[in-house]
Amino acid sequence: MGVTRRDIEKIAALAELGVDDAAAAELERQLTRILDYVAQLGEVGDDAISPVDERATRLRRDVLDPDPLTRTPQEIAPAFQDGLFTVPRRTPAQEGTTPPMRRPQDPTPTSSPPRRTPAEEGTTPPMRGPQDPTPASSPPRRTRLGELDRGQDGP
Amino acid sequence: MTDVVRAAQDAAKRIAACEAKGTHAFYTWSEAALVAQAGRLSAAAAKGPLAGEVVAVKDVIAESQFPTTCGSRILEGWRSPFEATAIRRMREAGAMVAGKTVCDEFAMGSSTEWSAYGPSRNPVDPSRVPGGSSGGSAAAVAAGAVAMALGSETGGSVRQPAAFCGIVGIKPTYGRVSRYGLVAFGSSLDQIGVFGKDVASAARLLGVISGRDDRDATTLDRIPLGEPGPAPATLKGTVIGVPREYFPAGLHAGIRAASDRALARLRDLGATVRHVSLPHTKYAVPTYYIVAPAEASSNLARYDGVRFGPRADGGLADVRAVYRATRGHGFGPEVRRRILLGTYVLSAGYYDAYYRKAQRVREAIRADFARVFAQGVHALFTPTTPTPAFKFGENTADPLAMYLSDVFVCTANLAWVPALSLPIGRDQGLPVGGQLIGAMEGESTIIRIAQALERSVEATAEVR
Repeated sequence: MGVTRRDIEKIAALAELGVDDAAAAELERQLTRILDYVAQLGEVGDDAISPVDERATRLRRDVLDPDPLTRTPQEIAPAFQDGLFTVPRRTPAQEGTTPPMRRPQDPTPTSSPPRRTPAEEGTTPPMRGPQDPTPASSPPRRTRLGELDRGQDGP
Repeated sequence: MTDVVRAAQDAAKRIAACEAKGTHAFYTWSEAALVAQAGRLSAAAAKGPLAGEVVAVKDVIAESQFPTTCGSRILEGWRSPFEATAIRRMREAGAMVAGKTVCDEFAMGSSTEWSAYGPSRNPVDPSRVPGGSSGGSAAAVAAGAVAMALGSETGGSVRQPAAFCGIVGIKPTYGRVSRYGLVAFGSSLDQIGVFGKDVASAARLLGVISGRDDRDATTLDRIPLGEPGPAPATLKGTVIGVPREYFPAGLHAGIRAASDRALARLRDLGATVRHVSLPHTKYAVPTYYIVAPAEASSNLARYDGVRFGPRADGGLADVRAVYRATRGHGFGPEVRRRILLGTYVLSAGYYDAYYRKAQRVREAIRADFARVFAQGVHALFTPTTPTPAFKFGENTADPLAMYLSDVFVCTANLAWVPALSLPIGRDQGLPVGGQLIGAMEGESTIIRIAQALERSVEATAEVR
């Protein structure tokens, strides 16, 4: 069964995934080929197969037992304010633009919660071997945390 | 200087040498972090079963010293605020984390070529892939940088790179090791696995990280596996099943020759070799490529640019546009493909035809294994991979060709049974892996058989 451009647009919207035209054309071909391949499951009759026997899940007591976190939400989230994760306010006129992924350079965290290795923090790149032989594949960089483009956050 | 500090410094030298050769096994590592860990080891941990061991960790497992990126731009630089249960147990046993290793993005791939930060190279032949998705961990062990490493499996991602790199890899029974802190891909399939330079090293690490964990309700309520026993001198009384579906007529000649030689060694050790059939094997890859993407499409919904990781937000005013831009730019091609495939097979009108059907075939695959093990077979022997390690670029243009490299390994994930790969020979210089598949909770049996086979098979000798 062929996957159409309309199918791609529909599932990309369901998955909240931006897909440009060139990628959509390739995905049509690739997903069609994969789905043609998996269609062979139709050869297996259902008669001889018992229903899926899911293992009983062990339940735990209804008590909160959170792992103590070594970093706060402010340090993890791209935007956090007054105890809340924040997102841009909806203004439909500005839809449809797809800027590049923000790659902030500032490695400094916004606060200083307890860490396991304080002496090792704060270098850029933070944990890289001294003789990295593969500069083309750059190591992950720290993201600036707690940052939000206030211009888009509205009043 | 204490022994563990010296062990940390020695490991740092080996890792530096490994990376200086261009292996790129690690995204991040540091000698300072290793020495600091050695200094922090408690008195109890310093006498633990892994005291002084340095373990490389696949970058899909949460660890607090180094970033946890999952090989993805969408988690670039992200640092976990907690650690996986497996990491905590390793530390309590005296081990130190060497660093985070290269993997295909969100563990989706069979070569590390889908890593957003560059692939690893196979230490045996740098023109070839190390396998994947846990390829960096396998390369780190194969290069001699570490003796053991953590990987993860959803469809063979420990055993396939172990085979390609000529080392040992174990995928335990689903539920044997806590998934707490393992970044979710396909939750009904995911399991942390281990690599070792030999069977005993891998088994020791597995013994430490296994066991019930209240933070993962799917863990088995069993005591940890503990230390492996000595290699048995004989396998008399052991029945090895050889499933015909894993030896098709067109099987790669070197893989067949190595498998035949390993089976001869098992017979020499006193084992009885019996031909068996697992008739639904041919449906494993299509079943896997419905179930795993379906679960992935749900699990990866959390990466939306709101709670963690970078955000593509400049100029965007609509939160849904933020989601789409962040996910569209942050995920690489294979992850995007699988999210869309999973969304498709779960969408209205297709759920019964694909997902429900795949779940029923999965049950048939599990029933195949259960029937064979109920007939007195202690373990199954198969090749781990249909070919030795392939070259870079060989399979990236055709997703289906890449998927088929997992044809002999994804069955154990679908059936939840334990399986391991150990080196059984070389073909034109390239390692060949042999796979032992056990019954549910049968890790100790396949480890015992592997220890015996390891001592008698010519793991580094050409097979033809």
